[in-house]
Formats: sequence, C-alpha cells, structure tokens
Amino acid sequence: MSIFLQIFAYIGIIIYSTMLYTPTLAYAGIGCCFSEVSGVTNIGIEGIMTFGAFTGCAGAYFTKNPYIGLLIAGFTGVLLSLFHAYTSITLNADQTISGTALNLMGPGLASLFACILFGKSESEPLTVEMKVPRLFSNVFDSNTIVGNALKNIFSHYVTTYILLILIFVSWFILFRTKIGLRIRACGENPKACETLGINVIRIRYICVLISGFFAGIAGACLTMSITNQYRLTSVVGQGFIAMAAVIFGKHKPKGILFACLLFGFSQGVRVMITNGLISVNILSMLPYVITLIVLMFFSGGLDVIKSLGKPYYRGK
Amino acid sequence: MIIFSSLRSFTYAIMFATPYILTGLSVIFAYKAGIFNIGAEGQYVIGGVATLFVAVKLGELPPYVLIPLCMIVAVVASGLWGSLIAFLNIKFKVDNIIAMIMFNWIALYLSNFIIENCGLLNTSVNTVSVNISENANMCLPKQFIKDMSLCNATNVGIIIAILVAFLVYFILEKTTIGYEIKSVGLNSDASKAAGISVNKIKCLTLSVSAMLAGLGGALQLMGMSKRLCIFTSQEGYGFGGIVVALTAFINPILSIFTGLIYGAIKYSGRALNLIGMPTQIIDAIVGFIVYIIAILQVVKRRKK
Repeated sequence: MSIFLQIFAYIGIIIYSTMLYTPTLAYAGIGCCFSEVSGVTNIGIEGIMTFGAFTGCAGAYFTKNPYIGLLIAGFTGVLLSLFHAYTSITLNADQTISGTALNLMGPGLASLFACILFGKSESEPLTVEMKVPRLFSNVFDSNTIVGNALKNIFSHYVTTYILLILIFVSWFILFRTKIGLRIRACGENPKACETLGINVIRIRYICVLISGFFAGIAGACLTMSITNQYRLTSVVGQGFIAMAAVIFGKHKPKGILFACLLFGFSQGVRVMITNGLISVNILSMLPYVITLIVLMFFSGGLDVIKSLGKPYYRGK
Repeated sequence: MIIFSSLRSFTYAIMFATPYILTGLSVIFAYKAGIFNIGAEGQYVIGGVATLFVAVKLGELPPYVLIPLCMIVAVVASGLWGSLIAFLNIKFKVDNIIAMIMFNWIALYLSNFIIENCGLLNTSVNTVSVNISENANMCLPKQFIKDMSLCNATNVGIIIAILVAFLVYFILEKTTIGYEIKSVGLNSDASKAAGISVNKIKCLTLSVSAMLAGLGGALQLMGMSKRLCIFTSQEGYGFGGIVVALTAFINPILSIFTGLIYGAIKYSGRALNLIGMPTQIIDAIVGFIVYIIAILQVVKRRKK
C-alpha cells in the first residue's frame, strides 16, 4: 500500500512543479499568439516580461495588493509594446530590430527603476499578503501524505485558474467570433482585408498591445508567485521558450497550453531533481534541448502565417 | 568621459572593443544572407570554452604554436556549432531565430558543464575556471606595458579584429562567394533560379559567422579575461554584436568604429557602479539607440 502512496506523492510533486512554470509561459504564449496571428512578430516578449516582472513586484510591494500589481505589470507591458507597435505597424520598420531594442530596454529600464525605487538592482522581497494567493490551500491536510499530494495536485496560484479561463476565452475570440476572423485574416492577407473595409492598422495595434499586456502579466506571474522578488536573472529566456511554444502549438490557444505544459514540466524537473545524480547544468539545458527536439519533429508540417513579419503598406 | 582620464583607461576601452567588433562582424555576415544572427552569444561562448580547454590541457606548447592552435580550435568548434543550426534549419525547417536562442542557452550550460567536469574548475574559488597557461597569454610583455603606462591587458587582439573586419569586407564585396551571399539575402528565389545553391550558401554563411563570433571568444579569453566564469546568465556579447552591426548600418568597416564606441560605453558603464548605479542602465540607453536605428532605416528607405 505504501508504494502506491509514494507514487501518488510523486505525481503530486510533478504536477505541482509543472504548474509552477506553465502559467508564465502560457500567458506570454497567448500574448505572442495574438500578435503573430495578426501578422506582427514580437520577439520583444522577453524584454517586456522582464519589465513586467519588475513593475508587478514593485506595484504589489507599494500597494500591498497582488491584483493591482498584476494590472500594473500588464499596463507597463502595454506601454513598452506601444513602442514596438509604432515602429512595426505605423513606420513599417524591421520588426526584428525593434523587438531586439525592446529586449535590451526591458531589463535596462527595470534596473533603472529598481535603482530609483529600491536603491539596488533588485526589488525587496514580497511578504505573503503581497504575493499572488494560492487557492484551496487550507482545504487539504498537509500533514498526511495523501493530503499533501492532493494539495499539490489541486491547490495552485490564482493566476493558474485565470489562465485556464483565458485560454478558453482567447480560443473563443480567435476562432468563434467575427473579430477573431478579422484578426486571422489580417495575418494572412492584409490587402484583402483592407478592400473589405477592415482597418488592418487598428487591428494589428490592438493585437500587439494585447501581447504586451499578457507578456507583462507573464513576467509578474514569475516574480509574484515563484521567486517573491525581482532579480536580474528572473526571466532567463522564458519569453523565447514561450515563442517556441507558440510555433509548436500551431498558433492555437489549446495547442499553446499543451506546449507550455511540456516546457513547464521540463522546467519543473530541473527544480525538482536536486539530488546531485545528474549534473545541474545538464538539467538546466533540458528545457532548451526538449524545445529544439520538439521543433525538429513538428516544424515540417507547421502552418505558416503568410504575412507574418512582413510590413503592410496601405494603398500600395 | 572616464576613458580619456588616463592612457591606461583609454587602452582599456580599446581592448574592450575586440569581442564586440568580432560578434558585430558575425551578425553583419549573416545579415547579408538574410539571416538575423541572434545566436552570436552562444557561438562566442563555444569559442571561448574550446580555447580554454586547449590552452589549459596543452599549456606546455610554446606560445607561437599554442596561440594559433587555440584560435584554430575555437574557430572550428564554433563553426561546427553554427553549421548545426543551419542543419536544423535546412533539414528540419526549425525556425532560425528560435533555434539560435535555444542554442545560446545550451552553449552557456555546456560551457559550465565542460568547465566543471573536465577538471578546469578553480577548486579554491568554485565560480571561475583555472587560468589559461602563461604560454597562451596574448598580452604584450609586462615591462613594455609598465614603461608605456598602458592597461594590464594590452594585447594584439584588437589588431586581429580590425584585420578580420577588412577580410570580411573583401569577401563580401570582392569575391564570387560574397556576391552569392548577398544575392541570397536580397532574393533567395531569384538566386535559386540563377543557379545558386541557396542551402549551401546559408550553411556556409552561418558557419562563417559562427566562426567570427567564436574567434571573438578566443581573443577575449587569451587577451583580456584569462579565465571563464561559471555563467548564471548571458554576458551580452551577442546582443552587443547586434548593436554594433546595426549602428554600423551593416557595414564591416564601419563596425570597427561602432565596436570601439560600444566597447568604450561598456567600459565606462562599469564606472556607474562607483556611484551606486547598476550597470544595466547602459542596456536601456543602448536599447533606445537600437530603437532609433530601426526608425532611421525607415527614413533611409523613404528617401529612395
């Protein structure tokens, strides 16, 4: 009987550690999806996340309320992505360069504001009431093995539950409404959209701003639930993994969720296995290697958004 | 303006430019073929760790054998690393940018792994590797440095970097290969129709640009740092290369100057620590410069 309990406990730990990292990736992935489906690549996701990770933390620290912190992170993300939207949609500049600029600006601005607000390059650690709360954590008795395992399986941060709703809502908007059809059409053939009276510029702007909002929240998820504190090394390549998840998930919210679960699992494994049997460096490599292997076998048959990354000139 | 305060800081600022010029050239070379080389960081790390391995394990060789050998090994290792990215792109259609970003992180942890598991770790400090052999040291003689009151790490790396910049210019502008690379970058379909093997050119370009970044890693190790750290995050040489390449408007010769400027900015950025400001503020400024570059390109295009 005890062997089953052991397995049950392990399953609990696996699910818990997977769900630690999945929301961050999935929020960023959903944001990235909106932007890419409308035809704008946003490789600045990583930079926006880093900035959101800081502003979320700072917001929660000063207002003592995690939800206001999350919203602040989202809106600062919108502000940063406005830069990207202006260059890539209004000016038709190179989207990769503008995204790279965001990737440099994000951590730089975060450090600058950290220095102004906290006097050092990281934020003060958050206390429990400033963190994103964990739901149902009192329901289970964590002293017994079964209770602890059940707690690990069912009790997650609020952001995880919001995420599930978000996945459904964004699937519904993208694939079941008129607006979603227009967004997708903008990514495929903007010229045809324009002839039908759809304002391509406006739709692309909205989508890039949405991507900024969710990228900001994604960063805040990381610092406000897992690490408790903004550090320079908080967002290490998570934004890029999220971008890979979008490609792997074929630009569909449900696909992105499953891709993020896979990547979240490989991130969780790194944190979970700390017994020294396998080198830490090899484990740290794992998420990236898995991403590559997955892309190797799924890239061939992937759908390609036809106008992705291409500038759109009105009236040409 | 700290770099003009003494000859010592001035030479330091110049020495800082070496890796940035080379990663910049790496980005430029790939950009000409239409590939955005965001993976220079990883290629740089691979070049560095390959050099470290050779410079420590074969430390008994005389300098005039060891130093060229180190460079060759670094170039070959990073070249293979680059062709792996090209292979994934051509054979499995993996998106170049995503693959390079993943390879950056894999290179970083691979470097840590090699340092820790091949007996290269400095056992008394634990966060840095052992120093490279004195025979692989590229610095000028100590007495000479002292007499001229230059910085301690004055080395010939910067001259090699400038020569390589001219070489890259020559290859891109004066040879058939360079012409083919540029033609693939401008229009790969037309190039294919004209009988250029696009895949071969892409593979070649990625390998060569990885070699350039790898050489940067080798020169930085043998000239400036003498040892590698156990990395916790990326050091920014790859992103620095992108900045250098973009501010030079993708021109190899101009990249020498933008590289020198960027090196000076990075060197002066260290002075921010003295007044209690984090050095990452430099990144915000540089990010803003890159943003302006993106806008400037549009202005340039509209003038045509």
